[in-house]
Amino acid sequence: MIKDIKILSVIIFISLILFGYTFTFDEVPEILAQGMQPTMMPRLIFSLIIFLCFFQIYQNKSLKSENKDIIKRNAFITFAYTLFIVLIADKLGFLISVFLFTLITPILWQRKDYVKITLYSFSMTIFVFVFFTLILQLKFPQGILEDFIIRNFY
Amino acid sequence: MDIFSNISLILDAKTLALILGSTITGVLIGALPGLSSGMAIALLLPFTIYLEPSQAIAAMAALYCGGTFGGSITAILINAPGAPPAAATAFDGFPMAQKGQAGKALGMAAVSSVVGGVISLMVLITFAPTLARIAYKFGPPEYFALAIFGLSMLASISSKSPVKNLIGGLIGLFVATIGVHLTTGISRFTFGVDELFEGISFVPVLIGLFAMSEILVQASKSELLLERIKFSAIKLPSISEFKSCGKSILRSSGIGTFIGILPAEGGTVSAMIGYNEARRWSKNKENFGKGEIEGVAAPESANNAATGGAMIPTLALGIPGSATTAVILGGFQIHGLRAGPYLFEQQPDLLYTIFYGMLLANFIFLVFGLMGAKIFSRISLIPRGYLWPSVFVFCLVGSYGLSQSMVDVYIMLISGVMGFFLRRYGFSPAPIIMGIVLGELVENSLAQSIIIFDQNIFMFFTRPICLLFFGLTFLSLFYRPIKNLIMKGKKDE
Repeated sequence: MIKDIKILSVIIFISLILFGYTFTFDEVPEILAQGMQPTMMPRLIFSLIIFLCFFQIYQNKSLKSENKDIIKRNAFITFAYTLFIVLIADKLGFLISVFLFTLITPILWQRKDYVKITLYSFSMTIFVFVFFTLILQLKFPQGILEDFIIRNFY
Repeated sequence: MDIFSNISLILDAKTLALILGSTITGVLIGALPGLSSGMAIALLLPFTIYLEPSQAIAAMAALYCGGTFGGSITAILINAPGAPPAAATAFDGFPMAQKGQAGKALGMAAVSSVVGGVISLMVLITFAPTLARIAYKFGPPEYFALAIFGLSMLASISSKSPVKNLIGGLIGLFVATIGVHLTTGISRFTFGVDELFEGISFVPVLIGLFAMSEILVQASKSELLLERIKFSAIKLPSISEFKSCGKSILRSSGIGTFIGILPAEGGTVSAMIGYNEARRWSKNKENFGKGEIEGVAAPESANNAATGGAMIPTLALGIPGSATTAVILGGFQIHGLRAGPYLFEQQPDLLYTIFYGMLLANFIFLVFGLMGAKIFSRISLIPRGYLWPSVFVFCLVGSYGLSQSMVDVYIMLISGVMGFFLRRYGFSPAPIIMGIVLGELVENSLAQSIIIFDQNIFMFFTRPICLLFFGLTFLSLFYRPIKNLIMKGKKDE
């Protein structure tokens, strides 16, 4: 198969969809648009992307795809776990999310020193709380700890 | 002479302590992925209200310098640039760290940053009013031509495919179009998400493309035996290595100063162009991207030179030279100051305080950077199972911190996945970032030019500066193919 044809085809496909989506934008009277409709720049960009993708496919026509390393299972697990943490961060709060992430991820990444991992996880959570919440006064979603933190630290 | 007599402006204990503290804070915060100097200044801005205006502005300027340098530390050690201008430093800095030369890369970054910073400040102090007048002559058509030239440079960034780089740049331009169109008020690609109306914030995309995607790359490797980056010897660069990079450092300092002066063009563009030019003129161009020390020296001197340059339009015109100087402009307003041409006439003392503050900051991070290089190098000795979860925590905090919105965290995550797959197929994240940086400038300046030219776009070719930039664009896009054609023709003969 021609080198990079898969990824370039995906980019062409997405660009075509988004190009089509620009037809749903409202038309603006010429007096307001002053020579440049809001669709002009996105359409120009997608046209150029599609042109360059075809050009790259043409340029690669004699090159064959190399066998890429298979994405390791761990990458998918890490991503799924990261996604889970991000989704619960708003409800559980940043501190608990940070604690859970730093506690479980090292184990997912084959570390077996559980005492060190627990210490690391506690230290990171405390660091985030002290440095960002108390010193820099960043207001994170604190989730279920919100009342406790407001009562004791503000 | 004014320059020397005004040095007394910073020679009081409180100002010196503030500059020292701000520089060190800047280096440390700049080193953390996602926490740029701009964000640090934004966070510290409310606390500066208790300071004298000159002290507050000098402290912010020093933090800006320190943060720009600090970004290179994590770019070199963990391939996660602490700040956008350090993106180009990672191209060769990280491969050097992987080869056990982190100390050399960090040492070179410190020295070249200082050289770039000092040269640009000398230019500022000596020629500030004149240079401001040159930048003042740029209208929307010139900005458009300049932005197109900046984008065309993507064709030669890094060792990857020029066409893929251009596609990456265009993807970045697309991301910049998301949100409400300023001229017409029409929302584009917001898909009903209110938080996207103001556009996609640059910071979470940057964190996602660089740091989050790296976490996923590292996750793929974690089933292997834990291979640490080895530091058989942590050595600083030798004098001969500094000498061999001298030309690149000087050239990049010039590029950085010039690009920095141009409003809205900041350290990121300077570093990219500085890196590219270093590769173009280097005897070791085939080593670029594989751990070439010149590939660290050039972007570092350029991005730090841009800090001095970026202060010119900020101070003289009230137009931010970069994202961070935009935050500094906010600091001016808090202190009741108005940046602009009158500032040079009415408060020359303030300007000299800023200049000296930045000059001192450069020497502070030289000492701090060289002394700390060995310590910073140890960061990459931290086991991967601890290092990357910590990086994720900073990604989470950094992407949330600027706008305090969970949408930014989701954008960071999506950008990370996108970056992971694009990198896997040979796309570099840097062109996407550059596309986002230049996106607004391209569209707005084109729209304004169309109005100025009464919809006759051929009028671009009546402006000498536009012609110059279009000529440079043509050269950067077609120099290599034309050269190849000529070479091929000669061979055939």
